[in-house]
Amino acid sequence: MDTCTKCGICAQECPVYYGQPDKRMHPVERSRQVIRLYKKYTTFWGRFWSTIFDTPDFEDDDAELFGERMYECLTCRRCAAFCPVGIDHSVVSRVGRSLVDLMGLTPPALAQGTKNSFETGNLEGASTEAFLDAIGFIQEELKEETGVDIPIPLDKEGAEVFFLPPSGDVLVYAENLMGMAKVFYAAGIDWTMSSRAYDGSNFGFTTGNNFSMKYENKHYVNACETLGAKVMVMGECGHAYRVMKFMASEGRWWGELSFEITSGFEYTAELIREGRLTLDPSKNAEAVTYHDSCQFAAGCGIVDEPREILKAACADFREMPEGGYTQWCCGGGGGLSALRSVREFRMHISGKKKAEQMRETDAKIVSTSCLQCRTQLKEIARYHKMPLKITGVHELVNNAIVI
Amino acid sequence: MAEEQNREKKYIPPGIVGTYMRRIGESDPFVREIQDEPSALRL
Repeated sequence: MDTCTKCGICAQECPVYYGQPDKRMHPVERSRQVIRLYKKYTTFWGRFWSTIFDTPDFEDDDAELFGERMYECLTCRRCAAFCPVGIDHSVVSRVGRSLVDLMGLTPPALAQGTKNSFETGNLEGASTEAFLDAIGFIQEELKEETGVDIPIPLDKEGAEVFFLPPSGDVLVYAENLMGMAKVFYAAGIDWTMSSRAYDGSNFGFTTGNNFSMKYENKHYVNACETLGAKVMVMGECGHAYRVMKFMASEGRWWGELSFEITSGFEYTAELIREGRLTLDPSKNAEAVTYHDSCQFAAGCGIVDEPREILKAACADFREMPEGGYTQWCCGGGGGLSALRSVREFRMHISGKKKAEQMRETDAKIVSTSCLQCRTQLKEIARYHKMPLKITGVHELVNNAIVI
Repeated sequence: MAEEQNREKKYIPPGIVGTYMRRIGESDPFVREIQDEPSALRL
C-alpha cells in the first residue's frame, strides 16, 4: 500500500465504486481503514501518536461500521488487475475481515455457514440422511430422463476420481451434479463422491477465518486420501477451488498430496478435446452467454475451459462484454450473495454494472461457474425484471450430452 | 442515519485489535499464503 500513487484507477474499475462513486466506496479509502490500524500498532510513529492523542481504533469508534465496510469489498481482484503497481485490495479487505471475525462481527449468515461446516461438514447444515436422500432422488431423475442407470457412487474406495461439488449442487441446483454424473458415465470414468465430505465450498476463506479455511480444506483432503482417489475433481465453487489448488497444494499445508487437483471445467474440457464425450448443441438452442466468476477467472485463471464446454454444448454462444480475467463481478462476490441483509446494496450498487451488462446482452441464458454468482445473477434478473435464465455450466452439459 | 448513530456500540475486548495487528506485522499466515499463491492472478 505504501507504493499506492493514488491514481484512482482501482476506483474506476471497481464494481462497488461504479455503483456508488463516493469516498466510502473507494477501494483505497477502504484499505486505508485497515492500514491505519496496522500502522497504529506496528510502527513507532503509529504507537507514538496514538499514545499522545488516544485515537480510537475505528472511525467514530464504531467496530461494526468497520465490519460493514470490509463487506463492501467483493474481493473480486479487478482492482489488482488494473492497478499499475499491482495492489490487491482484496487481500487487505480479507485482513480486515479476519479482524472482523475475531471481534465476532462476521455477518450472521456467513458465520452460521462456517459454524455449519464445522458441525456437519456442509454450509447448509444438512444431515447425512438428507444428503443421501438427495443423491437417491438425483439418481432416479437421471434414470427417468435417460432410461439408463447412471450411478452416483458413494464412498467407493480405490476409484480413480473423487468428485467434490459444492453442497448447493446436491441440495439445490442438482442439474450441475447430474451433468457431471453423465460426463463420468459417458467417458467411462471410475469415480466416487464421499458421504462424509460432499461440500466443496469454503466460507473460512470468504470470512477471513483462517482456522476454518484450513479445517474445511482438510476435511475434503482427508476424504480423498481415505478413498485413495488419484484425482480430486472440484465442482462449481470458485473459493474452494482456489484454496485447494493454489493455497493448500504443493506441500504448503498438508505435505505432498497423493492426488492431483483439477476443476470440473478443466476435466470436462479435456474429455471433450479427447473426443470422449458427444454433445448435441441443438439441445441448448437458445443464445447463451457466460459470466466469469471472480474466483475462477481472476483467482484461478480458468477462463478458456468453460467457454470450450459451452461452445460444444450450446448452439449459440455469445461473449458477455468485458468477460475473461478482468470481468466485472456479479456484485455478490466475497460471500455477499449469501447476505439478504445487503440485498439492496447488491442490486443497486455492487451489482449495477453486471445488471447493465445483463440488460445489454441479447442472450436468453446466462451461464456461470460459481454458486454465489448464480444466486446473485438470479436475483438481479428477478429484481430488474429481465427475462433471463441463469444456469451452471454443467447444467447445460446435462442437457446436451448424448448417452 | 439517526438510528445508525444512536445504535449501541458492540463491546470489543480491549487489546484484541492491537494483538491482531501485531500478529499481522510479524507474519500472518493468511496474508503470507495469499502472497505466496503461485499463479493465482494470471494476468
